[in-house]
Amino acid sequence: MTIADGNGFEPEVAARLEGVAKTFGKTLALAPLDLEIRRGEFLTVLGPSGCGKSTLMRLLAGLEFPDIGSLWQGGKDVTRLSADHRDVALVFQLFTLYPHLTVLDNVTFPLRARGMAASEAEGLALHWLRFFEVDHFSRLKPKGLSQGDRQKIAMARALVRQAGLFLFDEPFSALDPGTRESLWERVRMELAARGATAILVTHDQTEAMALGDRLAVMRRGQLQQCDTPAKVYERPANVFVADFVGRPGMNLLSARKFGEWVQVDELAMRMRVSEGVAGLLKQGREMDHCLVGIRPEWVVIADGGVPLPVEHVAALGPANLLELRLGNGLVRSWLPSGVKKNRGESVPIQWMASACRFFDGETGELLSWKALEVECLPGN
Amino acid sequence: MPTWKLSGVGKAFGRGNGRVEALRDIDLTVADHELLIILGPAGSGKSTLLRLLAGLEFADTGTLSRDEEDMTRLPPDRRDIAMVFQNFAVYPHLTVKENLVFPLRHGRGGISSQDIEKRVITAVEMLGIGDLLDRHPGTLSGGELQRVAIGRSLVRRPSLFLFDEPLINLDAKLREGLRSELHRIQRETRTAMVYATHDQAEAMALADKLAILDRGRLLQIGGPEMIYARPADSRVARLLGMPPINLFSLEQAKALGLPLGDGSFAGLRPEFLSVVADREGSATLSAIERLGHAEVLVLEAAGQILRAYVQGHSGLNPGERVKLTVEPQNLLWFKR
Repeated sequence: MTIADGNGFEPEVAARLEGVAKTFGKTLALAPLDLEIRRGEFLTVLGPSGCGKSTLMRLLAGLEFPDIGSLWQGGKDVTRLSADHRDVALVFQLFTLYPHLTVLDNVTFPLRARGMAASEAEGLALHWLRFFEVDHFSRLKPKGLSQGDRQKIAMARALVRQAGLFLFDEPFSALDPGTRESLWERVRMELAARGATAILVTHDQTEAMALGDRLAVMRRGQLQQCDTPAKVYERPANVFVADFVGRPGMNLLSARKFGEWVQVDELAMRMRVSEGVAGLLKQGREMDHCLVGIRPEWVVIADGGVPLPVEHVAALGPANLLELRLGNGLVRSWLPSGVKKNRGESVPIQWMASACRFFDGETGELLSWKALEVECLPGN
Repeated sequence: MPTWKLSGVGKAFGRGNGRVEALRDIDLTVADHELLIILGPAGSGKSTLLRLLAGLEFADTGTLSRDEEDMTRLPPDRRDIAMVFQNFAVYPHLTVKENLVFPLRHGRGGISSQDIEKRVITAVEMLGIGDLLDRHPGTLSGGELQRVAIGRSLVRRPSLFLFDEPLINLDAKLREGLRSELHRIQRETRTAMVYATHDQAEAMALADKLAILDRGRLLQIGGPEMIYARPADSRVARLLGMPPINLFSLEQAKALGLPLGDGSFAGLRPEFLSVVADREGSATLSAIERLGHAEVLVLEAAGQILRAYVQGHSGLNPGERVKLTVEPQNLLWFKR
């Protein structure tokens, strides 16, 4: 049964987009998109600027309307409903506070607008202002406060409400990463305790990975993948996701396929692969060019491996990242703690077959291939 | 190539009650082909420091010298320094190529057309912007624009490059790419660079030498690994490292049962907090942030939030009781 049948309240679905698309003039901001937002989930949306993530949020908020497709919330068609008639609370990066109201009045405003008594509204507002440690500003006007404090206040104003859907578009962009991280941890716990549904748009992939129950990756108006962060990380749908998700991204090496062998010429090594049933059914063609993807944590230093020169060692705090030169590109690996490597030094690398992913050389799509064994070619 | 030196430099803006001390008592050396990163939060004085080096501001106190030559009051066009700002300074009405040629045609010291051509080609190759030469800035992406802006300073072949948060307006991924390019450029040109940023990950990834600036004061200078392992005080400790360091007051350290040391604050890097499942344990695992290659465990013990960093998978689940262990030698003690 679909919602369109009429009597379709689906308790497990908070919102649903069906074939929703949006253009601005000649620019395609959002290609037809189907997406279900589950009740109680924290969905993060990640992508570079111009990927359509903010358009998606504005459509959900009712600040824009789709050209085609329909939007459902709480079992109701809200496609043409304007922002103030939707059960959403939003905080956008540049969402401003009312300049003529005090901080406290700004936060109580959405409650009083819904008919809550002033004293009750104030109590709630103060709770949230304290939560963000900005309660000492409550009698001031927003003007003159730092951008970061204003963002915390805007967030308090959204969280005082019991909205069916919370929409956050980089609401803490003005705060430093450490503060941002600890605030998100607390906000996330708070929302989870209430069973609230929220969508966070960010271009910070660490934040997107760490906070999301599910992670949606977008690019050029198109949804690339939507799954748990672990799935997206381990089985990226295509090379864009492989490179974009993970810090650093997946190592992607150019390779050729001969029969059941995939050969990486630059490394003088090859892997025997099984294409899997799905692969055989789907492909039906011989592929000569493909890409091998391996996460840096699966590239290990081991005797007998392929020697590569060290380009740079980045000290990233808890762990050091080793960048090795391979042709015009780099292969990245995590350096075990206590191990020192210098620029120019040669390091032998290896990896396990099971850690490899394979991508179509033309379309960049993930293939269902599995590597069975790795071997170095003679003469290396 | 020269060595640049700031001695006892101070700078304030405004007067009376509105007087703001932007920099105080700065001693800093930038050696030949060194990449110095200045890390500091917004308002710490990073930009003022760069503007003083560039000659866009003059110091109130102290001196600035190049080798032994005093340059404290030297105007910017005589300093042989190129600065790249966070908002890409390019001329919108000129093509990319004209933008690159412009600073050479109109700068000091006549450069021959042949030489100009050669410099432009070198810069274009280094930055990989060959395809963009005939385009206008309005048609370029943020990353392309920033490359052109960097190219404009490269062609001048200065003896010192200054970068003021040059990547701040770019996407995280683009930033990562340009960052390793900057590293390569710095090595290939063998020219000293001073690079200001508020992003600690960027600072750690780039730095040969790191200077920590906060509220106009230099708190510590050294290699990134050294500062990370041995921060001078709790402020430095907090500015560096993601996930952030666990910091405890003396009372909190006591409540957690940590071995006490010499100081009033204890710091513990998340990678040194070991966590094992234990039904009798005194801590609760409240959340797990999965980073893919590692996990950040958010823990609660003695009414405090702690973070642990685990490479790979911890195999733990939120809500579990856990036992925390700390090796005394991994605790950092700070006087302030």
